[in-house]
Amino acid sequence: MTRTHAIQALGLGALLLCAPGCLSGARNLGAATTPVGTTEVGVSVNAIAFERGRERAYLPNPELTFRKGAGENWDWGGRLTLLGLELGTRHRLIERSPWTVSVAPSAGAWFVPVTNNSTEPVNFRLGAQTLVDYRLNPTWTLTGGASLMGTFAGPLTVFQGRFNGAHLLASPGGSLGVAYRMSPSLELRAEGGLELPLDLKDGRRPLAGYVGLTLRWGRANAR
Amino acid sequence: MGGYPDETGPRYSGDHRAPVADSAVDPASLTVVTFNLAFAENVPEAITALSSAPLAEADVILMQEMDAPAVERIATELGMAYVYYPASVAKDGDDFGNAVLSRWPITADAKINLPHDDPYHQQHRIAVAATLDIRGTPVQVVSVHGATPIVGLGARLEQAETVLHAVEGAAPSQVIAGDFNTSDPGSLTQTVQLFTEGGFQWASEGVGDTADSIIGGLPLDSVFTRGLTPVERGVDMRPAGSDHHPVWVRFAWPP
Repeated sequence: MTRTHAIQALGLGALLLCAPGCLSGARNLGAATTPVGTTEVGVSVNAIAFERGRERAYLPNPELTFRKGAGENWDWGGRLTLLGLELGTRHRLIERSPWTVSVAPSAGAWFVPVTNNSTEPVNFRLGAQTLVDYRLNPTWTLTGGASLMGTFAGPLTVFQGRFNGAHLLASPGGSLGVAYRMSPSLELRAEGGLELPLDLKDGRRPLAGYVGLTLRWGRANAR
Repeated sequence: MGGYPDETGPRYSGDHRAPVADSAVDPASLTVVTFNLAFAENVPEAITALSSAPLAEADVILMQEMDAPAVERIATELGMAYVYYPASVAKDGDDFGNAVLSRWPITADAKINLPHDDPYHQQHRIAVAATLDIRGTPVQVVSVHGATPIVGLGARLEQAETVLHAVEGAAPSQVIAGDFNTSDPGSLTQTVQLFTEGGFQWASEGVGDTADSIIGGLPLDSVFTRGLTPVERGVDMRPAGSDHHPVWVRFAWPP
């Protein structure tokens, strides 16, 4: 390997390190809210598919997640990537065994280092996801989700009040997941999802999607 | 920084070919060079490079990041005809645009405005097309300067597509060359695919990196052709006054 190749490899490595800041629709959540007095933390490894030029590209996207029980029927939490943070709440609307239905509004901000047709460095997302759990047995739970997210994507000049090249997108999406309860405090969740971004100016954009695994650990708060 | 979106100008042209020009005899081949001279700040060094082999054999030099005085000086020193259109004004206040220099008469030319101005610098980019009369055979050449990766790959592909549409069917033999800013992963592949789908051959295929950067060499510059057969190609890695290196392709003649 020549010095040039080594430098190129370093450059590519840096790009891959930063690239997980890409927007991801992955939430890796079930409908059951975190009990009051419990905090859950999780590690997710997602693979995301997104529009790159005129092709689809795929990248790994690690995330840290957390939830904290806040009330009998609601919790709050978020997910953290290298270059983004999303915070939100989750509200349990229906609990009728084996079904649970929740809605989870969220808001987030991301920096995306790779620009594309409707992708810009500065991103704000606001929206909500409806989650439906169906418990097969005490160990296995299926989760379906439907979401609608609005995204503002703009160049860094938005901080100077210049909005040339900015985009507004609406992204309906859906997800399907399965959770395996490994122990009372440990859950492994696999999830996949799709989003169909609609650029309010340029129209429909190609599908974006993800698949991922999340290991989530819950702990009752010390009294 | 301002731009020049007017399709008609500003326009600069000149003809510094010798009275009894090389164009009096049939060429044995046609050599095209593309060269981004980095804001035209090192013109003497560029002239030195362009005056020695293999670049001295160039019939056509397609240049980017040029201003009018630099184009005039290079054309005068090398004894070539030229046409130049500025696209925008650079940070130093000088114009910033594309030029076509030719040892053969330029019979027609046009400025092609590219979409997707750089939102950070309000920098407009263009391509410049010129039709050359090579002993009665028309050849269209196009000097392209695509946007930097900051506007995204999708935008740069739309810029390339704009050029393809603008020159479609304009001449039986065409060369489109320039700085396509294909530095990011996958961008060169998708650019080549776009030109291939448009009926063009990647004439500079295999020349390797064409520009220096802090992360190493980058393949920013390319030459595409339709109706001509490339027989030899390369990158002149000698210092030429720019972070880009001149890329040259020798085509068989007659086509």
